[in-house]
Amino acid sequence: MAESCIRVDSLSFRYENGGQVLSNISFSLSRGSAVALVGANGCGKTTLLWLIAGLFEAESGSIYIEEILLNRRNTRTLQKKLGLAFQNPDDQLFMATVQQDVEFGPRNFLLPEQEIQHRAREAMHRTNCLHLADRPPYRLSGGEKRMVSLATILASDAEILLLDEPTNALDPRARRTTINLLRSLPHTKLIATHDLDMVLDLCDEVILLNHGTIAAKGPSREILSNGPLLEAAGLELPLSLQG
Amino acid sequence: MTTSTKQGYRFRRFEEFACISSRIHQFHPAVILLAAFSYITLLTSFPATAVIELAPYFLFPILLAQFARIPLKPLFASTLKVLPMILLIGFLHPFLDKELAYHGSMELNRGWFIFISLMLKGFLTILMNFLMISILGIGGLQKAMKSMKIPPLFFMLFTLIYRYIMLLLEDLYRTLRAYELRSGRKPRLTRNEWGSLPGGILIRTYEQGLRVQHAMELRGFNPAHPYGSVQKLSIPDIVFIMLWLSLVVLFRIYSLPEVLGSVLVAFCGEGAGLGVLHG
Repeated sequence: MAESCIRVDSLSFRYENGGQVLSNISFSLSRGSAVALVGANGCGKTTLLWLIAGLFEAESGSIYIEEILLNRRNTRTLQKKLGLAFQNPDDQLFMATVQQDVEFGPRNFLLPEQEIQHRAREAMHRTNCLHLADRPPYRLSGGEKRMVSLATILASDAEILLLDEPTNALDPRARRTTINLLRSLPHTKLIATHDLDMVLDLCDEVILLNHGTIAAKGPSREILSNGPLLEAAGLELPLSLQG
Repeated sequence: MTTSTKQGYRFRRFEEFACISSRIHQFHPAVILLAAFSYITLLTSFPATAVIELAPYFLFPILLAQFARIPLKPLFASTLKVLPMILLIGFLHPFLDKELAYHGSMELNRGWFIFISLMLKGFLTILMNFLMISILGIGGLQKAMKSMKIPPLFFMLFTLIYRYIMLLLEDLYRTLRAYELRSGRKPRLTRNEWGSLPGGILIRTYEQGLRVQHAMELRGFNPAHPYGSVQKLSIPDIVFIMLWLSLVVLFRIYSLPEVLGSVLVAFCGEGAGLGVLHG
């Protein structure tokens, strides 16, 4: 059996004074795979990404990053392997210029100046935002912000990308650019999204969440062409599969 | 663009100014912090009724901004926005302190002198603070604190509070903009709106603040070790701060307007005397 990059075993989570958000979630991602987390609003997609990123502590169950159990002591070390792109890029962009924001991760990892510059340039080049380097992030368009937010995690040299709605609120061209960029990245990707057409384009597998539990998992085309299954989870067939 | 949107951008501009490339921006951050601190300390050490003596102190921020290539207009505009708070502190002086005081040939109530002095000191102090942030940015300020051996806990509080204030201001202006657009530009909030509006802003910004903190932590942010390394003090840094301190102290000890006045009077007097002799 191939070594898993992320493994989640019987994971459950509830917010303080809140209802159960996730129950008994188990799955694994192999290195270099692209897996989509789909489900209706509030089904626990973002929470699951945050749990894997070590931002919340699970009620029960375990998460393994490259076969290392994620716990309080090693969260910071394992977080270096993960790059989380937030649903709202504004949460991720807080420095005065795009360049500074992209350099933020490498600088905090105390890399040599030359390496910082190289990584930042490389990440901005890859995401096609080199021309935005001196612009303040809050003055960028939604599509530009999304690209810069991806550049920030690429510059941090994360091996596993956790992407929360990467095509949310993008125009068709920006959406296509984002999809092409994600496809070109060799990283392991776990993508929480409502964009089922993107999933068909980009992901090998789908995990369908419904009310905090896994309703189905399997190859993208198989799951996403199952109308009754999607409907039961509050979703619809992707546009490209609708007659 | 609505007024509230402009306000929101104005605060962000200070951090943008910190990205300008100028000789002043290249100085060691601790030098800039020390320059601002010494300026403010000596400015506030003037007697309560000092007015004319404060005039040379306008030169420092103006020249510093010029050399740093930072436009003065937004700095002045932001400073003037804060000034009403100083006005609130000082406005009673002219009514309470009616003892006569003199400034050269000018005769006024002491309270008026105190009031004007307070306003000038307040204006210059706020201006210098804004200018310092415009030169250093949040990162530079942290580095300055680190090199001055200020405890790491202080960095953490400072950085997080600063980031939170920025979020709070942005959300406040965004909410006010939405309010303006849907309220028919009503001038002020009604009593009912005062409850829900700030409550909503606080909850939203608290949650966004957490998300920003998470984003920072995921990219290796450690409050005990501020972003980036701090350069070493160089000869130009030392020359700059020595020159700055000498001038700030000199203008504190000797009143430049008075000295200039005396020189002018002596010169004119001599000229007048010569004129009489020649006549």
